[in-house]
Amino acid sequence: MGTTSTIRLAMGLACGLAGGAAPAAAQGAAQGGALWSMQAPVRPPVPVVADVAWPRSDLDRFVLARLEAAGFAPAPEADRATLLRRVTLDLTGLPPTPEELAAFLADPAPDAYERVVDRLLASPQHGERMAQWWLDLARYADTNGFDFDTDRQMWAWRDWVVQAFAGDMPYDQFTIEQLAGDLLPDATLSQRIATGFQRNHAVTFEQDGQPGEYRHQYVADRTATFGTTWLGLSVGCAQCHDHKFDPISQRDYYGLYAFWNRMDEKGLVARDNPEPFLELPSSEQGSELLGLERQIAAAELQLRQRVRAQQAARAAWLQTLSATAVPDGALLHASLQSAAGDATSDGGVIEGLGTAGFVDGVRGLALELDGRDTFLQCGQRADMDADQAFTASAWVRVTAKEVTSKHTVVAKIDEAQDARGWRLSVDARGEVQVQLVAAAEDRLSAFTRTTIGFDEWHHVAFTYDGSRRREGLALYVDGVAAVLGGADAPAQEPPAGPPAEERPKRLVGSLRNDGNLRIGGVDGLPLRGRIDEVRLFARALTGAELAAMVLADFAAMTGAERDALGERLFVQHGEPALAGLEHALAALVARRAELLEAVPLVSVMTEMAAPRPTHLLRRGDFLQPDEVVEPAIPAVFGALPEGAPRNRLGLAQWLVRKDNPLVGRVHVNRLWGWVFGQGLVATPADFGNRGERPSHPELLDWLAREFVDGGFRHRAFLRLLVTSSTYRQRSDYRADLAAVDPDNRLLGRAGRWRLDAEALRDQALALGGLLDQRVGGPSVMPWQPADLWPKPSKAGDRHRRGLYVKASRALPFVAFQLFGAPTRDVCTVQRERGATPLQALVLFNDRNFAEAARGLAQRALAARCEDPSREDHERLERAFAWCTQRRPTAAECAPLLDLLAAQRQRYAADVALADAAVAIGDLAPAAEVPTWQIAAWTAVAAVLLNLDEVLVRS
Amino acid sequence: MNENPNSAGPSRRAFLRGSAGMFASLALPLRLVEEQRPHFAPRAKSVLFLFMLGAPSQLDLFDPKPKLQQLDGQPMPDSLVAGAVVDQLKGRNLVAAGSRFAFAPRGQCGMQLSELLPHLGGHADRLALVRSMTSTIINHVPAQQMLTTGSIEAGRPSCGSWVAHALGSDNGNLPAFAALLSGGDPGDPPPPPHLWANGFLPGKSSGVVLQSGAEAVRFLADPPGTTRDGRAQQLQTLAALDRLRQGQHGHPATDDRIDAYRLAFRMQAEVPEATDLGSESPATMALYGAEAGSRSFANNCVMARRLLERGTRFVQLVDDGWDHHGQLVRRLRQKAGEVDRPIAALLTDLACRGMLDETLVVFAGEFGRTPMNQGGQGGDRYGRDHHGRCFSIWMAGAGIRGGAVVGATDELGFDVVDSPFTVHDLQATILHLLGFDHERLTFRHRGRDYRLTDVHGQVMRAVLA
Repeated sequence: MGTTSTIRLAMGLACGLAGGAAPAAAQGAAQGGALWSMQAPVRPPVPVVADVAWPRSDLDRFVLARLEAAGFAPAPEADRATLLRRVTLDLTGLPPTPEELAAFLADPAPDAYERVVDRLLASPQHGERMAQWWLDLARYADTNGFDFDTDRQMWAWRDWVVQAFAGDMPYDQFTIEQLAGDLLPDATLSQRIATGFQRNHAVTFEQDGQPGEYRHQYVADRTATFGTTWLGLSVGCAQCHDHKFDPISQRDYYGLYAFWNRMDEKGLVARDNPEPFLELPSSEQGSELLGLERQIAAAELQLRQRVRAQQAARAAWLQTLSATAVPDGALLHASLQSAAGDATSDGGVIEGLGTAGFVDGVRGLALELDGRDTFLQCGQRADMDADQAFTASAWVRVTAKEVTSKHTVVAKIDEAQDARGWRLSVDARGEVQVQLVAAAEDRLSAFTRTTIGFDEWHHVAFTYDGSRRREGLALYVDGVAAVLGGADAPAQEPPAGPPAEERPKRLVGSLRNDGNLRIGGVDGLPLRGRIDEVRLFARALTGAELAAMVLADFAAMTGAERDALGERLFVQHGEPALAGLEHALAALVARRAELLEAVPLVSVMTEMAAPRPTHLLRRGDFLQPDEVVEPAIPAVFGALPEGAPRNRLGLAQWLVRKDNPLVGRVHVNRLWGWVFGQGLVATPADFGNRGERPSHPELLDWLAREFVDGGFRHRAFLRLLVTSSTYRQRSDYRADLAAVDPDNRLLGRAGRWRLDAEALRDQALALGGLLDQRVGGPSVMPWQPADLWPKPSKAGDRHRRGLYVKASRALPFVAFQLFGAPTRDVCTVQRERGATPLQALVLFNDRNFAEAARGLAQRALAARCEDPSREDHERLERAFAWCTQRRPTAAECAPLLDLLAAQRQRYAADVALADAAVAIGDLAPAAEVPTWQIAAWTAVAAVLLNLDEVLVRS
Repeated sequence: MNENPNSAGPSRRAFLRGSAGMFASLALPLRLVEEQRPHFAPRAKSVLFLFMLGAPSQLDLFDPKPKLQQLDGQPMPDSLVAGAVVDQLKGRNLVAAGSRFAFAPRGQCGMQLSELLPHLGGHADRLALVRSMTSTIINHVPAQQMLTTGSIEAGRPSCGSWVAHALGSDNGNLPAFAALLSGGDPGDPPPPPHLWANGFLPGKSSGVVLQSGAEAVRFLADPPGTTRDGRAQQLQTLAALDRLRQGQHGHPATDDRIDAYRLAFRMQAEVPEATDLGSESPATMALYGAEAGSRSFANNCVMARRLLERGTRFVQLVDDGWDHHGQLVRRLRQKAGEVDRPIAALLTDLACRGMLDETLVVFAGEFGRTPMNQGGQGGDRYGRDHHGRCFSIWMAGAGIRGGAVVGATDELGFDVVDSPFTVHDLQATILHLLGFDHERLTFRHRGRDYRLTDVHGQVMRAVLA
């Protein structure tokens, strides 16, 4: 294939330049001793060069020596404007402002450039720029991936990365905290958040999945990401068999795997953040929570004391209850004495292959279900509609066992019709929920802010008044009206849902459906526990009627659980003073639940007290465990030192030892690639036998020693790179070099490449005067086509930097994806920079870019002109210079002014067309400027934003 | 590539229509993309991949089991199921579930097909039905990745991307690899993009999701207030400025960018035309059961034919909603009803137009379903769990031996007993029919030469004509 052969050709050339040594890709016989990258780098002697005036540092001497040996001279130094654009984009991901350009051009000091570099390195935008790169390695995302791709919160970890880079945290500390911050003595909150690095991988809660297979995949992902990021080795290749090319045996692989297999985690996770996670309340949230905890404890104590003091009163009150005070006229009453017929006034059939039995309940027996998709199917009944008032109630005793799905109490829905119908359920946390569904987007639901306890009997009910409004829904627990939570069930709906006022207030369609009435489960949402006395009424019962029903059922109760239930019912119904206390307590608990929901989360690493053993898996198959493997580094590197902890901390500390052969080289190669366009090793993810040899082996080693021995400082290291003569060269094409060095491996000129996806958008927003430079916080959703993101963030949050755009695995921000932004499914080291037609469509047609063009046009129109007779010309020159950092030539101005004139003519003749053009986006059209004028300038601005020169860094 | 005589005609006409021929420079031919050469003479020119997401039940569609019928409701024999890894059925009594649907021989070949596929049955003599597919994976997402990319690891290129990368498109104005999506419940997330992702292959080979109409491709339509003439003028100005600047910096890569903008402009005319079902005759629409304007599998079948006609190399239809753990009878009937007629119509239509001889059609789900019942015998719970041990696929068209029934499962449909084939074998066969040796179609990434078939795969000779 063409592409592969081109790559091979380039590799051959690189090796040829390096002195003719063929790559040592001896299959299967890879010996660590023979592989260059497995030897600790030694500071090489600095070569002697002919042109002693050019180098600014030893870095330049290494580069120049190679160029001279090949018979070439370096390119001349770039002009100041080009240099400023280049270094500002490289270090901050943003273009320089006109003021920054003017200041730099006017600065006569010999170190003017160095001071610009220092300013950029100290800016918060630099931290964001570095984080953007790191996020690809960390496969950071704001969603869980796999089938359902529900939202998660990992932005606190992302902000940790921004701050770490902004604060120039040394790479050794950066490494240790991310891999093992939780294992440090007296680990701080920040150090524990840092370990989110290895929790960024995709997870699933696929209900019909094999948990073991998934958990294995998570650990394998962490192992592979670790290997690529720190060792530059594809250790994942040794998952099924010994690595074919590198000295990593299958045993070595599982030795590394073992470090990542010691966390208490599940293969199938909750819908939001996979456990374990940290809660990160703000200080206000924290103090309110503390206060609530105290109030709740006090209220509970008071209630308990009062209850104890009234034992006699309770006994007397319980005596007064009658078992017959049940409201008449039930549409259906399943007393659940057996599966069908006899005492069950309305019977059904047990369906499913789990077990169902009849055990002691509230009134006689109750149905017991094991939670394995088994339920009582009662046929086509209770087909209520949205205009009918109705009530459903039942006693439930949910078994405390960790499940992530809901317990269905009673439902009449049809899964094949968007789950249309009605359903009463208890979620995994114990919230009672009701849903009335007409269609996917046409539904009403409500849930209780408080939760019911597990392994105890509760009466749950909802009433609906047939009004088609949410206000017409009420939930009752134990005969008392419950405090309701937000408009939708939190565990079911994504947290980034629309604000309440945007939700439909009225149910439009019908609830009627072809499904069967089912007690104790619907497809995939089974009840685990007991259920008794299911009743349906074709009217909305009053609270008093429900309370009476609860007490009547209780009066019929016998058995061991009667006392506990009696105590609870006495508090709620027997003594008004107690009920008041109980009510106040419920309000506090509800407030706490609400607050906790708003508290940000971040998933982190933890270590099990008794770590599970890791087995070598034959053929990488989790069903074929073999011998037990202890955590260990690959044998080619020896072993962890005596006394070093045999856990992630020991592993991380080994990585950042000064004699580690790979970690320094891999990272400096990456940093080099970030600012020079490609690494000295052109395969930054592969330092093994099949990777490419460094183009400048001595330089790579010299840089690694500089970085490691200099204390792993990013800022100092980047300063070394970008202040070099090598970096400051012009980027113009050199035909003389291209013939022998098409990929510029010799560094005989500066690199020229298309900006990254996020930088392209950031630049457009900046040039359009729209960029919102707030740092950190939850991710945002700018506008994109409605079938992808139907509900973008509010207008004020749509112009944040690309770093903060929600990284969604299943529904990514397409404009980024089309420019090579990875989906973050796996650790990604290099992005693709090719040009495709779909990119051209984004840059002209995506609303975000169209809005930016108008922003740029309005900036130009607002500019004050010195010579009114040359107004268009002056404005054009300015806008052009904002985008390119240079004045346009006369030859460049002419076609642009022609375009402006033609567009003006078009829009002046068709004002409706102009009005449509200026209505795009959130930005208000400039007042006092006719829309045809804005529209015409917008067309010109769009061309400026699409100039090849603007899309690249050169 | 765009120089193909079969496609140059329609694309140029489309362009001229779109721009009234005013802006000549935008119509200039694009520079040639690098030549790709198959390893041997191809049988197929293009591929139509019908992916039924969620795993349809082979026992109710393709693989009749009278013995299972007899055992219905009784425990599966221990000798068969002892120690088997099943998914949700883990630890439960394994009860045989006979199909609720009748099978009958169809076509000259007498291939047994389900009553749920009456229209497809009319094409029995065109199908090579493989009843002996097998896999060890029984979770959806990894199995879907395996079927499309040959690996359960994320980040690998999908089959369509390999093909697009190897062969490009016969029409430079349309994507080489198109993905058309349908099915699934409203509110469900759409099928995940990695099913048509290019992984580490160049972005040009990525599957492009096409819908019907003006927004057939993301950002295809000019923003409000922009006219075609206005855009053409902008692009001419842009190209002029880029050329001026290129005169100074000299980088050839600028040509790629200028070309990309020109191609984008042409796509804006060509793609809506290719995806607009409005120009199909009512008879054709009726044949497919398609209705212009709706988002359906039937519409996607019509669109697939239009794309194949215009030179798209690989069209992947992804239809969601085949995961029938419960309520199988009703839901499978519904799903089969949605796809049976359109697929049959597509085969008929391709054959009438002489395209079936050069188009390989593949129908597959990510795995199969159990011969054991997952719920009660009667109503809502009757359903089948995930089953990797055996499942059925079929192929038709270019290079395929019509009427062949390949491989067999045991009398209860639990295990393959004859000619087991894996997903890698299927992928090797697809590449083979396109003229590629799957072991030689490689791409170097992170120091390794990757293949669609990983380190596995053998061409399924039994299905070849």
